[in-house]
Amino acid sequence: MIFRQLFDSVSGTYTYLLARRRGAEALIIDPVLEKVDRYLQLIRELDLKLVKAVDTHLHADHVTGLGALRDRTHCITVMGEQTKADVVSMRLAEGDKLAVDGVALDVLYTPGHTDDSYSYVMADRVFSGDTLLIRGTGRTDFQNGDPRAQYDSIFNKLLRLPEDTLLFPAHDYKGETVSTIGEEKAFNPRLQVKSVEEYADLMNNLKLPNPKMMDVAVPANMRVGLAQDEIARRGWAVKPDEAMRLVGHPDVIFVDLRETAERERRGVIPGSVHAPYPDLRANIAPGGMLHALATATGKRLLLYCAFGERSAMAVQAAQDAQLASACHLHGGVDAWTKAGGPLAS
Amino acid sequence: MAEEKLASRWLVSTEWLSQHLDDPNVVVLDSSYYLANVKRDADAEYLAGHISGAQRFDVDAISDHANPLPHMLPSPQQFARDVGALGVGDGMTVVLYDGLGLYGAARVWWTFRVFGSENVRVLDGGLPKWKSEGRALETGPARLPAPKTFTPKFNRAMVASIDDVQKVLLDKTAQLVDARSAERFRAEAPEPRAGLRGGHMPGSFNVPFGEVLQDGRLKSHEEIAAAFKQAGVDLDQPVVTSCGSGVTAAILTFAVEALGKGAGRVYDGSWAEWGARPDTPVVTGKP
Repeated sequence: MIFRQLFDSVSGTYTYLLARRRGAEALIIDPVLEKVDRYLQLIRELDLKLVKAVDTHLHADHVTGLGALRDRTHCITVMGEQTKADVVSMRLAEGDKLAVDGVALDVLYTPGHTDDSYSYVMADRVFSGDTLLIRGTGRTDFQNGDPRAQYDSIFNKLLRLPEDTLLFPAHDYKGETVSTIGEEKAFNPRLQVKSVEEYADLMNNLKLPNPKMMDVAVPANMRVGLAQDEIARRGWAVKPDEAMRLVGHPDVIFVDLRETAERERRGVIPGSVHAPYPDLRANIAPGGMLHALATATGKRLLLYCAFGERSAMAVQAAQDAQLASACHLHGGVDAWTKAGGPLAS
Repeated sequence: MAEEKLASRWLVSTEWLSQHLDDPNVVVLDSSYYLANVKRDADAEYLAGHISGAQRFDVDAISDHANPLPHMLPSPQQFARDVGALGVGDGMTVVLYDGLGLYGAARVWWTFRVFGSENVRVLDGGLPKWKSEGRALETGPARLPAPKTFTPKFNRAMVASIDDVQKVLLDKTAQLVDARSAERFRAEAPEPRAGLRGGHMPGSFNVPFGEVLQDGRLKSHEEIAAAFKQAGVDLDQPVVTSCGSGVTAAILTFAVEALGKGAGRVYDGSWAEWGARPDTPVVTGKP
C-alpha cells in the first residue's frame, strides 16, 4: 500500500495520500490549497490517479485544496452529509465506505469540533481529523462545536477501536506524527476525565484565540463548488422539471455517475444506465462505451449524479468528445428529489 | 519418471490418463471442434483414431437448437440427458481432449462447470501430445456406454448475457476481454461468419487466444499474466471473455483460472450475437 503523511507547516496540517499500489487510484485526506502543486507532483511521481479528495470537516485554519484538486484532476470532492460547503460531489454518512480501487475506509461520524466532523477508519489506523489529536482534542468553541458531542465521539467511538490502532490526526503543532488509541486513552490529558460534565467544563474554559486564518478560511471553504451556473449558461444543463418529462423518452439515455452505495441509498432515476464517474473519461472518449452508445443510437446522454457537480464535469468531458447533445441534471438527484422526481430502487 | 508440473489444477497429464483408462469412474470425451474454415472433420477424425474408450462430445449437437446463434448453451435438462447418455454420472471424473490441444475442450470444460460439475479435467496437450508420445488409439464408432444420471446445478455466475455485457462495458464492474485476432478486433480482417459487422465492443480489451498457448498447451503463468497485462487487463479485477462464438473465449477463461484468479464469465453469444445486432455499438481501430 502507498501511504504518505504530508505536512503544511504554516497551518500545522497533516494531509494523507493513500493508494493500493503505484499506478492505482488514490485518495487524499485534508489537502491544503497552498500545497496542491506538491501533491500533484507526488501523485505524478507515484503514477497515481487521484480519484477522491476528502475533508474530514470544514476547516477554519486553512483553505482546503479540494476545489483546486477537483479543477486540475477532475477528482470527486467528498465531505460528510452535514457539510455547509456549497457543493461537494459526494456526501458520506456513518456506515458508508470511502473507497477507491483497492482501498476502503469505514466512515465514522465524530461531531464535536464541528458538527460536520468525520473520522475514517482502516484495519490498522484511523484518520481522526480534529476530533482526537495527539495528547489533545480539537477545540469545540466555534462552528457549531459541542464538547458533549465530542466526548461521545471520542469515548464511544474512537476509543472503542482496538488499542493498537494507529492514530493519524489532521494537525499537530509539536512535531508529533502518529500515536495509538491505547496511548491516547492512557496519556492524553484531556481524556483523563470522569464524566461528560467534567469534559465539557474543561473544553469550555480553554479561552483560545480564534485561528488566524478563520475569517478567510471558513467562507472560502464553504465555496469550493464548481460553477454549475456556467455549465447552464452554455446550455448543457437540464432542470429537474424538464428532466422529468424526458424519463422514458426513447431518444434520451439517463446516465447515473454515482457509486453503487449512493444508488442503493438514494435510489435511481427509472430506466437509467450506470457508468461510475471515476471511469468516465475512458467511457466517454471516442472508442468508449458511452461515446459509442450515443453515436451509434443518436441518443442524447443526460448525465446525473448526487448534486450535479460530477455530472457538470462529465458534461464538459462529453462536449470535449464531440457529443454536442450531451447534458446534465442541474443540482443532481438532490434537486430532482426536492422537485418531486421519481426514484426507483 | 517424475510427474511434470501441470499449468492448471484443471489439467491432467497424458501419463495420468494412460493409467486411468480402465478406471470405471473416469469418462473420456473427445471434445474436438473446428471452425468451418479450418476444413477438418471432427467426427471423421474421431472414427479414424480416438483415445481408447472415449465418447464423442459434439459441441454443436449438445447445444440449444432453438437458438439461431451457433452452439449456445443447452438447457440444464438437455445437458443432463445428453451427457448421461455418454456415460457421465454424478461424482464421476470427466477428462476432455481435442485434436488441437486446447480448443474445443476448453469450451466443454466451461460448459461442464456451468452445469455444476467440478470433476472435469482437460488432457494437457490433448490428442497431439498423446499421439506424439506414441500412446494407443482405437478406431471406429464409439462403444455404447451404460447411461448414467447427471444432476445439473446451473451456475449462472459463469455465464454472461448480452445485457450483462452492456452493463459491464458501462459500469466497469468487469473487464471485457476479446479472444479474437487483433485484425478482427480492429476490423482489418473480415469476420468468418457472414452478416457481421467488423470491430469490437467499446471499452473491451484484446488478448488473442493464441497469446496464452504454445503448441496446444498453456504457456507459463508468467507469459499468460504478461499477455493480459500487455493488453491493459488487471487480473485482480473480474473478467468477462468473448470471441467469435464462445469457444476461444473459454480458452482465455481457462488460462485466467490457471493463474488462480476467480471464475470468469464467458459471453456465450459473443461476436456472433453482438456483431449481428443493429443496436449494439461497435468501434474499430486500436482499443
